[in-house]
Amino acid sequence: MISEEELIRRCKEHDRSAQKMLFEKYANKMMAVCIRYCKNQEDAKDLLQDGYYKVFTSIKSFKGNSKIDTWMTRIFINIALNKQRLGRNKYNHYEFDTNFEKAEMSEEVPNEEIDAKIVINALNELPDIYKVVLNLYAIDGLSHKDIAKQLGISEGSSKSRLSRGRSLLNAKLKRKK
Amino acid sequence: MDNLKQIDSILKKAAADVPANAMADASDWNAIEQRLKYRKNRIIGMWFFLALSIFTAVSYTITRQKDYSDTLQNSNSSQKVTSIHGNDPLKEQIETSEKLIDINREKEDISTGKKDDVESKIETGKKINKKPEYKPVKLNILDDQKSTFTSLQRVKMCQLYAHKKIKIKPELIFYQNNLKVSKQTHSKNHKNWEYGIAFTPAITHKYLKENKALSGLINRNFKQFIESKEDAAYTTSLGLDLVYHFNSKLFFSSGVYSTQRSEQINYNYTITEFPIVTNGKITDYAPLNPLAYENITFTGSNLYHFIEIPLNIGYRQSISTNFEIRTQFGLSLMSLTKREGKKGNFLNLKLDDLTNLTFNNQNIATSIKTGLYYNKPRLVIGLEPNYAVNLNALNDKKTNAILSRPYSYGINIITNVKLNKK
Repeated sequence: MISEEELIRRCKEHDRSAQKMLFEKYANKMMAVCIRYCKNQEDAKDLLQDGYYKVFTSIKSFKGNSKIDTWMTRIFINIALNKQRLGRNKYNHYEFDTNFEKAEMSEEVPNEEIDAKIVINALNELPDIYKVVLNLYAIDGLSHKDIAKQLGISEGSSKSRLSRGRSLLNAKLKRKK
Repeated sequence: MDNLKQIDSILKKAAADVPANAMADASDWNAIEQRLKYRKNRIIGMWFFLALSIFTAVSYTITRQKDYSDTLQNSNSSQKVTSIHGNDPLKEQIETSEKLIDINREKEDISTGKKDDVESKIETGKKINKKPEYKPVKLNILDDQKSTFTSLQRVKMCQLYAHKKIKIKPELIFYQNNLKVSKQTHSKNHKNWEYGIAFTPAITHKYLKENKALSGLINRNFKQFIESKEDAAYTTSLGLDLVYHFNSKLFFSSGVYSTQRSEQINYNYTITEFPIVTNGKITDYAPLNPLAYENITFTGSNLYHFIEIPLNIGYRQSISTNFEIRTQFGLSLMSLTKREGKKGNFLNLKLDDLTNLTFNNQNIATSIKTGLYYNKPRLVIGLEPNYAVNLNALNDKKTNAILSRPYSYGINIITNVKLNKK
């Protein structure tokens, strides 16, 4: 079994078999990241391909200060956010739903046994501005300061979007339950 | 509000469990691999083009400088010749003309209205203007002296006379000289070199033939599953073009090119049986266990990279002042440097990587091209449709039952610089 250091070294030398091994090793993990940042599976696949292409073309800049999958995840997130920024005009605007608003008032949260697919689908149904902040904060572990920097918004906006996002997601999950 | 923070842990847990239908698959890797290959080719192409551009620009500059220094040298040598024979005739004439003009002015002031017959080689214009400072002057210079004048000297003379506010007509003085020189150049300088960049976008495909020695090993599904799923593909060729003109009609053309041959692959089949081979021949097929069925799905381009050295003989026919038609025919030495892609095996239909197959590294191709060229004194731009085909099979005959000879047809775009100005 080839070590990770060796795998990265060979990828830096553009060894095609090593690139394939790296792809196979982390493909599903990165696909999970892609699905969280995309509206549908087709977009997620595109993002996966773009992300890996970027990983292989810029792997020389990987210094080994973090784990390779952490570095790769950051690349995938950056590409996803850039794509959203470029396609800003195509954003689906959030439609006001009164039932939705009522549901959000309750702070009762569904238990953690809820199906992962339902949670991800609910997340994907959120407006992008909330979905991205929830993704970055709750799952990818970025601070509000980093999120603000990444998205070009204030820290206050990041916090309010997170709070609003949590409420909306909670409402969605309750309705799906 | 704190309850809502539990949403974070639900999200984290959900994110860790990827839905089964959202797994990455082989098609994702194929797409990434294709993009990486394309990038590599693009980088190589860019460097190659950059190197050629720099080479052409530097060569062009050097050639131009050489021309300019030749002109200066001619100018100096002509001055030396005249000084050997005595005084510089041009200088003498200029000085004499200045004196004469002064004399004429004095005479006009006196209003004699009579023009003196001057024995020197300079005479004033017949018509005396009311503005005497703009008198036309004609220089009588012997033909053998005229031939030594360069454009630089002409300019100097014009400047000198402009200073004296006298009009001269350089064309009257030098036209004979120009005719002489151009006639001489034209009659001698048919031999000429051209070099530059040639780019050929083309469609490539291949002629297939069964290798008689191994034809018994060809799977009965080969044509349906593999041969019919391989199609023509787009390729490019880029290189340095070199042409030598023997005379006004015949020329030899060569150069070094980075050439590709390609095939578009679109396999999608399932292997459900395997061939039973007896004495080097398929005698029967045995069905596979359904659990062992193998789905083969592969879409992409197989690429064969060559370094090509063409050796062509050509004929050119001028059709107008600036246009000519060139036709050339010849052989090319093609060295296979790299191959990329996958191919269905003729025996078991499984996918083989091209790097694991045996090919002839040294190949010979023939090509014919004819097209229109825009011909300028220093530059030639050509557009010529061409057709090239490998004369030998690309595959090794000892191990392949199917032999392929690639061919291509495309448009050759040439931009060449002439080494000697014509």
